[in-house]
Amino acid sequence: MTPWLTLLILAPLLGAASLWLVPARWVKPWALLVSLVPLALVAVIWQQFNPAQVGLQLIETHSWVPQLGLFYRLGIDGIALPLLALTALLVPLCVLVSWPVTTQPRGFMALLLVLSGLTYGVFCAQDFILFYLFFEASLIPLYLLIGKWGGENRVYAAVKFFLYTFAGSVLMLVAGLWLYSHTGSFHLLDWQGLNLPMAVQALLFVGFLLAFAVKIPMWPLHTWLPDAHVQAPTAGSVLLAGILLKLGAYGLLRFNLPMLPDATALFAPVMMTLGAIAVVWAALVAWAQTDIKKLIAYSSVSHMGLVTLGLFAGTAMGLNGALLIMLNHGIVSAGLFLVIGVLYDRYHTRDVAQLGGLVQPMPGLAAVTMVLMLAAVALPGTNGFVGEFLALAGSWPISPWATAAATSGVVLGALYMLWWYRGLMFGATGSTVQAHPHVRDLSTREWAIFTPLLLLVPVLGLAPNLAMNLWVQPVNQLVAQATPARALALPSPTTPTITEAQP
Amino acid sequence: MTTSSEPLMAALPLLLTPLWLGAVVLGLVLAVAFGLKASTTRALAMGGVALALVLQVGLPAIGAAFFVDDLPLYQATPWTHVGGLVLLFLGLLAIPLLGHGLPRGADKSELAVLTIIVLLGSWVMLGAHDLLTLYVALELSSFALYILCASLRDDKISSEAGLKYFVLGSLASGLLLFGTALLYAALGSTNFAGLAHALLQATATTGLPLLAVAGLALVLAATAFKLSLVPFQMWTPDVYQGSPTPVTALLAAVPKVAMLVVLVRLLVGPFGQLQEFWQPALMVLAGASMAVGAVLAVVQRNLKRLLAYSTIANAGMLLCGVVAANALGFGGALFYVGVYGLTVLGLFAVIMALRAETVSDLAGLHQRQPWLAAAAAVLLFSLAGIPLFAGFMAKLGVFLPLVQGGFVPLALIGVLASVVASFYSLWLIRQMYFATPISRTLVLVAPELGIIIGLCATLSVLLGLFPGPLAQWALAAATAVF
Repeated sequence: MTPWLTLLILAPLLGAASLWLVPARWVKPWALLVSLVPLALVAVIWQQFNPAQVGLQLIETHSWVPQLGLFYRLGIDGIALPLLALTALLVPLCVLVSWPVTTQPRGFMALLLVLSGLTYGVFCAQDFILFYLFFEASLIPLYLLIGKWGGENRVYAAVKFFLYTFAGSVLMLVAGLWLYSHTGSFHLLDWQGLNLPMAVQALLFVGFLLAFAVKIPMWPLHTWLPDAHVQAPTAGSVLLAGILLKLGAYGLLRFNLPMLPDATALFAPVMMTLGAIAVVWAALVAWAQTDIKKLIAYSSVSHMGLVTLGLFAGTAMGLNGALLIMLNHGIVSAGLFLVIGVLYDRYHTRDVAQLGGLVQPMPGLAAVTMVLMLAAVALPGTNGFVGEFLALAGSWPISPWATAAATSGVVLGALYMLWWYRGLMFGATGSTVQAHPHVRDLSTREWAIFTPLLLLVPVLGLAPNLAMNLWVQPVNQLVAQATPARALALPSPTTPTITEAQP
Repeated sequence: MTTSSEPLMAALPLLLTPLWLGAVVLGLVLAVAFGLKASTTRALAMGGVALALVLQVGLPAIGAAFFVDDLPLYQATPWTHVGGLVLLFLGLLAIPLLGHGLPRGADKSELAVLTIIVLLGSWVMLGAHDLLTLYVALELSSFALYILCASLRDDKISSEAGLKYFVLGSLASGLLLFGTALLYAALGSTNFAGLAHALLQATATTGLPLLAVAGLALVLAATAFKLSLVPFQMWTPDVYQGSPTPVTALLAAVPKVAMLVVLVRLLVGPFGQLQEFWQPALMVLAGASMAVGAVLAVVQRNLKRLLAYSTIANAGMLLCGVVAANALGFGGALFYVGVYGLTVLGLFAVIMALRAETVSDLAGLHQRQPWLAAAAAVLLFSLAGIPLFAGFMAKLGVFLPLVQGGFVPLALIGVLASVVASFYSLWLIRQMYFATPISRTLVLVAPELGIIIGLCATLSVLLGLFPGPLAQWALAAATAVF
């Protein structure tokens, strides 16, 4: 049996090393080629994956450090697979958008590839220490990417990003070590169904939560994100928004929800409230931004608030919605950061006051941005709509107040995004735009970046089952594992399922 | 007291390594007398240590020697064997550093001789099975270290460091001696096995003698001094900063190994009955060291001082493994001390190669010398305990048994301290990678320094990904301790 997952992790890592073997002018094309290999591998994995099967698939198990009980254990389920595919899709786009990078392109491309390899590792790892290893190690390449190739205030942002996430995740390590001493295994599946006492569950929940809440980022632990996003180079922002933020929600799905169901039920109201606060608060802050990148960064916080809301609703609908938002936010916010990158390459400013009237010089970009923006505000028919609708509909029966607040946040989101688009594309021509009258519209390379994203917006908007069919089994399992206390909170004993939406 | 008349020949296999190291010392003294160049002496010293390492791997001698009242003064076990291998390996890496980072004319042959004496003393410490043997061996290695610290005779700071280390080190030796006296008074023996036996009998019949607990406290204090654990760490920053850099590297890496091996032997041997006393004491030492070391390291500007505080924090972490008081914990601590020695030797080699003194001397290193910067970054990430690197596996190896033993609060202090500690590692990396260089002059890295740096960085990665073989050794050795 071919170890496809190992190949998926190793391909970009080895590819990164191989960049030092090619001559300098071939570095970028070679990096692009290397970044396409995981895409092909994901296609193979997708083809081998059977969504009807319960449990993990493509499992690889090898003893790693027997003295400490560590295993090299990989496997994926329907939750991990779409995130793998998203990563594999975004990395080549990141390489393409980084074509103008001139300072040490070799190191830059290598770090991008290493980051992607480690991210595949996080999604595939089924042994706690392996998971932790990939989770933590992914900080290093992003730290270097932000600190070396970022904006004016990059060093501050890089250190803040690193320390925030590292501090969050060490408590997860202690929680994991405690679970190991309790069960004698680091296998994540062995940590499910333990029926731990509530007090223990609550402590472990907090330990895991801090790691993932920083990553998501959950209000009020989000303050590193705007800094990191604004200072990061475009490719770094794309990967951060597109994939790394998903690690937090993914962690909650892997650890908190299935392993600590009682504590999840206990904390769910708090979490949903925090999620709703994040949606509203980040939307308001985003509205006040003049930096176009910071605005998108806060909109990420807002969207991830919806994910939190949906996850802790614990209903099949809420979980489906949360997972869809994760996927779609990965596509849309990555696209918007790519737009900003393209603009910054031309005008070297992110100030909305200096930009404006861009539809005149760049009609192609204006069209692309419109599609992405409409998806971000969850226009029906775009991919953004289904996820947000499901998340809100799924949390309504659990917590109407939080849902109502979050819904108003979504409306605010539409408001500031349309505002943003208007200021950027229409209206009076900005000073910087006037100063550079001969700016080219999107080049072929840039169209190649946006085309796959533009295709996915309506495809996933009209046929969300393409993704949702993958995670039917794990979602059902999560709902089944949830503590009955929460099921009792439902108005009807049967959780609304999405089976009727399936073909 | 009867001294057994066993022939020395029977003990010979056990004494092969120390005798060989002694012969190397004599040979090197001759070499110094004949005025051989310092670099030649170093090469000879390295050859000697390498051969000792080969001897030790080839003829792993286990057994006891020098019986007094049928109790041995010296005993080699699998635990001392693996500890000895780590000791010699780190010593082998430390010797080539000796000629670097020194002012002109300070590169003397004597440094190599004294280093071998440190190794010899540490070696005997490993196998010491009597508090008096331990005392003599500790003094042998300590005196060589005092001289090494003060070896820049014309330099005030170096002399000060030597004097400080000497005075405070003597205090620690005095504590050890006084503790030995109290133990002898209470239990009538200084032998490890004799003490264990007497303690067992005393607790069974007359109850626990308080004098023995006082003796334990004094011996622990002496050990804590040598491991630079809070509150016995006062000397560390000044001595680290003042000593010639290669000596600081030696001081940071080598004596810790011997001290750890001895500490574990003491705790499971003579003091096995007193676990209820030493375990909480060690918890306090470990927690305080991790917290104080990590926090104070953050505010340092001088690189050697920074690494001194980092040593304090790391000593606290390796002590966590000892607190767990089982084979996994002891093995983890041994693994930790080996990995730490490797990392810190590599970092000192970088400091020496650049002749860097303060943190800002590293500014922009990446733009000047990318490979050196990459190696230093690997070592620093490893020091911070970031996964993929050996430092993470080492921390896992001590924190896992700690949590298993139920010491969760201490483990929490440990991981939080490692977050604080990661701050200064990041800060150095940030200087190297993100800051603009002050000067653009390339530093010519001496080949032996380059090799050491490369080796330490490579091993930091390899042991981070495949810690298995070394972990297996450490665990097997630790299992044999009981």
